[in-house]
Amino acid sequence: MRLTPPSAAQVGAGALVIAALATGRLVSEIAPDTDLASRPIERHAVVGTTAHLRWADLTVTKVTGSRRTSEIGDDLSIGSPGVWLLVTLRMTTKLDAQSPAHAGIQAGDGTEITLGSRNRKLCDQANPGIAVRCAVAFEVPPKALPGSKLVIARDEQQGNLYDDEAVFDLGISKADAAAWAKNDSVIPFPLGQDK
Amino acid sequence: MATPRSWLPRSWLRRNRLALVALPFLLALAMAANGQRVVDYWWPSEAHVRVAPGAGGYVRLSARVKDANGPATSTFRVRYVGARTVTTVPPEFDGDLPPELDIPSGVRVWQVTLHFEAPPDDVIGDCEVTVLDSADRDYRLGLSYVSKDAVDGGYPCVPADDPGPQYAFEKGPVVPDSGLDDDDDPRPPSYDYAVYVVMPKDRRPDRVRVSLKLPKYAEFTIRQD
Repeated sequence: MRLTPPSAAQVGAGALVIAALATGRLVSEIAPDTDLASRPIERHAVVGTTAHLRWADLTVTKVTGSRRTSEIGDDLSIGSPGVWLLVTLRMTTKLDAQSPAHAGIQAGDGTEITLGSRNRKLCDQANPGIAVRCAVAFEVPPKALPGSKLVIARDEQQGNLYDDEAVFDLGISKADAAAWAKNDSVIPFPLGQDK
Repeated sequence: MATPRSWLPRSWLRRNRLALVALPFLLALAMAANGQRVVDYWWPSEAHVRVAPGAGGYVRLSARVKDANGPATSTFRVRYVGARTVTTVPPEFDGDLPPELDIPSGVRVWQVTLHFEAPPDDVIGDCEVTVLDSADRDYRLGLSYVSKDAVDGGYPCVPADDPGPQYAFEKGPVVPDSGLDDDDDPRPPSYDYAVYVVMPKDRRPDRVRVSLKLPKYAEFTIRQD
C-alpha cells in the first residue's frame, strides 16, 4: 500500500480541528467550573448584625451553650457528651410566606454539622414583612466550637444553588467553649419567649 | 437562485439536500418531543387560567374527582363579599368560645370573606384560597401568629362546623363529615367563608384567589369596606 501525502486543504482542516480542541480545553481550564458559578452567594454577618438576603432579613440575637437542654414546658432534659449550641434569630421574610429549610453549623475545625438526629430548628412559616423568632440547637464537640459559623438557607439541599444564604460568625471563643463544656444547667429550647 | 459560494461546493449541497430539507422539521420535532416538560413542570401546577366572573360576580369552578365511590364532580360558585381589619374573630363553630387574639403593634389582622354556593353532596377537597398583596407576595392564611387557641388548617372553602362530605376511602353512602361541632349536619347549599391573614400595618390585601383544580382559578380584587 502506498501512502499519498495529504493535500494542503487536509492538513489545514486537521490543524483547525486540533486548534479548536486546544482552545476548548484552555477555556474550560480558565473559566470557573459550574460548581463555582452555581454556588450560593454568602451574606456574612456577626451576632447582632443583620444578614440581608434576597428572601429575608436575618439577625442572630443570642448564642449560648450548655451540656443540657430541654424543650420548653418539658421537664426532661437532654444531655450531650459534647455541648448543645443554642442560637436564637430574628427573621423577616421579604417574598412569599416561608420558612428556611436549611440550617447547619460550619464548626471551627471544619466539620459540617447538619439538622437531623437530635439537632433541630424551630422556625414557623412567617408572612412577609412580619418579624418572627427562630431557634436552632446543635450538638457540637467542645473542641470544634471556637470559630463556629451558622448557615441558614431557604432550600433544604445543601449548596442552595443560585440563591443566597446567611453565614453568621457566632463569635465563640475558646473560653466560651470551655465554659459551656462545664455548664450543667439546663437551657430551655427555644430560649426565652421575647417577641 | 444565487450561485453557491466557492467554500460551499455545489456538490456538497446536492449530496446533502435531503438532510438539509429535513433539518428544520427535525429541529421542530425535537422541541415538540421535549414539550411534555411544560406539562410536567409548569402548566398544570400553577394558576394560569383565570375564569371570568359571570352574573352576580360569581365564578364557577369545577373538577372531576375520583374516590372509592367512583368518579364524581366537585363544583362550586364563589363570589367576593368583603375585606376588613378585625381585632376579634367569631367562634369557629356555634357554642365555642372565640379565639383570643393578641395582636402585636405593627401588624393587622385582615378578614377576607367569600360567598360559596355548592351542592351539599359534592366533595370540595382540593380548594385553595390565596391572598396576595399589591406586590404579588403570597401570605399564609390563619391566626396562629396572633392566637394560641385558633385552629388553623381546617378543611378549606367549607364551613368549619359543617364541612360536608370528604373523599371516601371505602365504598359506601356519602356522609357529611362531623366538623368541629361534632354533628352530622349536611353542608348548607350556600354560605359565607372567611379567611384571616396577618399582615404588616403598612400593607393590605390586594387580591384573593380561589382554585379547585389548577391551572384554573378565580381572582377577586379586594376593596376595603
